[in-house]
Amino acid sequence: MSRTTVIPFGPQHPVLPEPLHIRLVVEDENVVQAVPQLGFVHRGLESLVRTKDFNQMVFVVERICGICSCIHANCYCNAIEDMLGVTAPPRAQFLRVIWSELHRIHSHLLWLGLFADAFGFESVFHQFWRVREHVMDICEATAGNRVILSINVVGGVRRDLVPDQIRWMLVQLDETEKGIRELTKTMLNDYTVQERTRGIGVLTRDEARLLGAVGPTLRGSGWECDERMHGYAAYKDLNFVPVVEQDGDCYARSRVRFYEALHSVALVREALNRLPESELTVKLPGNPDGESVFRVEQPRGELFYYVRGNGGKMLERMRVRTPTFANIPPLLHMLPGCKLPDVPVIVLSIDPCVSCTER
Amino acid sequence: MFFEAVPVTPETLLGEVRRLAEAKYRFVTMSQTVLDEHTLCLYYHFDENLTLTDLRRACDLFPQAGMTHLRMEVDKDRPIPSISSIYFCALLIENETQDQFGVRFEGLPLDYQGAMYLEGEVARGPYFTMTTVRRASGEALPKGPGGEQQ
Repeated sequence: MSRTTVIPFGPQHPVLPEPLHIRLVVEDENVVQAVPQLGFVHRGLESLVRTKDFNQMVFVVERICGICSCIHANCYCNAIEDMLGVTAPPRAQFLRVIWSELHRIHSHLLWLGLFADAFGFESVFHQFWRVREHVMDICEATAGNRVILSINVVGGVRRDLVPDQIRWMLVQLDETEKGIRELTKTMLNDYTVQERTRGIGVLTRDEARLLGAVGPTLRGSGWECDERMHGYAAYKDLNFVPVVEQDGDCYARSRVRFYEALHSVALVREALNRLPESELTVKLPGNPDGESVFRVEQPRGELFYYVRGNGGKMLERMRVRTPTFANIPPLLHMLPGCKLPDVPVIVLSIDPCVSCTER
Repeated sequence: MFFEAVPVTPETLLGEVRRLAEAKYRFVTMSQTVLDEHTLCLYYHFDENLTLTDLRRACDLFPQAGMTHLRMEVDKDRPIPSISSIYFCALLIENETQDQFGVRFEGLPLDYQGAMYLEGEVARGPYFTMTTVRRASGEALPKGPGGEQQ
């Protein structure tokens, strides 16, 4: 006869870099129910729009999440620029793509390392993080910081790349690609990896849509859906193709991220080679007035900003819907029915970012 | 980009959302903004299509195109119908709205009773009641009875 037990997963757990609590109801080794508890690090950053002017808010939104700070700022700036009726110059659009894709590469490499660590493959964790250092070096050399880059401003970007930097970046990108490709066999073909991830945490195509999944969680279930397809910033000028897998399990989601990291290397290389000449910023015509929404693709999926201005320097309201927030309902659907040892692998497979989620 | 929203009321909301669900729209999220001390404005954002071909045709390279928005003004003291029975994924944002704005949703499958983020003893929605006090530079904060700054 099975015995029902309640097991707390988190907020402190070896696979969780940030505090998230899931109350697991298990019968023997089988999970039958999962209930999340959030709020351990909620900061109320959205409310700061009433005390910081809309230009200062760029620095605030970058601090919603370190690992995709540039993409938060990109989305926020685009939403404000839409309200003001201005468009960033072409070179700024390309530079936004370059730094955003660098963030995506280092985020995916970080996740691939953590994911390998979650199922006990510590040497792969070390290797991915070693390769990631090439990207962190690029960020530091070009923006002055490894994580929070602060290159976006409303109306453009504040930093440029010079030809010497571009040549050096291309060499570093070659090294990054070589490092990732060397890990292909281990990460994607190894027997142990497949045993721990194939057929685990399956999310079918219809379930992914109904449950509002985004990003690699959605694309791992067979949907060709990536905000970059809309062509914001310079994506409309680049050869972007979404990475899609069909199986909907943890292995499919890790394949999506693995190949997206490689595709992002190609996108940065293409953007560097086609960087147009222009100004870096445009003059802003006044203060934002009205309402605007904007969506971009973060490493974890669709990022959504709603902003409302009243013609003053401070915005009235800003609302941020981060991808992890959207991927929690699919996670709650994936967990019941799985075995207890698979819980860390499934939780990590959505690449949870609690810092983003709690804002 | 400025967007246009279809106005709905608490009475017509569920019917409209059901129609979008049947047309296979994806629920993106909800946004909330305070209109006055009694009224909250809720936006429900939906995405029309999920395929590459459709997105490129429908959106003409603008991220907001392909989206449908519903706009509903509600009295903060009246219960709001939950759409979680149609889109299960709405339960988190509806619970978040309860926490932050002090409103109540009816029919939530998982109801944190306003304590998803907040501690149970917090009685007011912080985003509904929050005000900003501006002081002239150098002006001291008022002292409490024990001499501590408030």
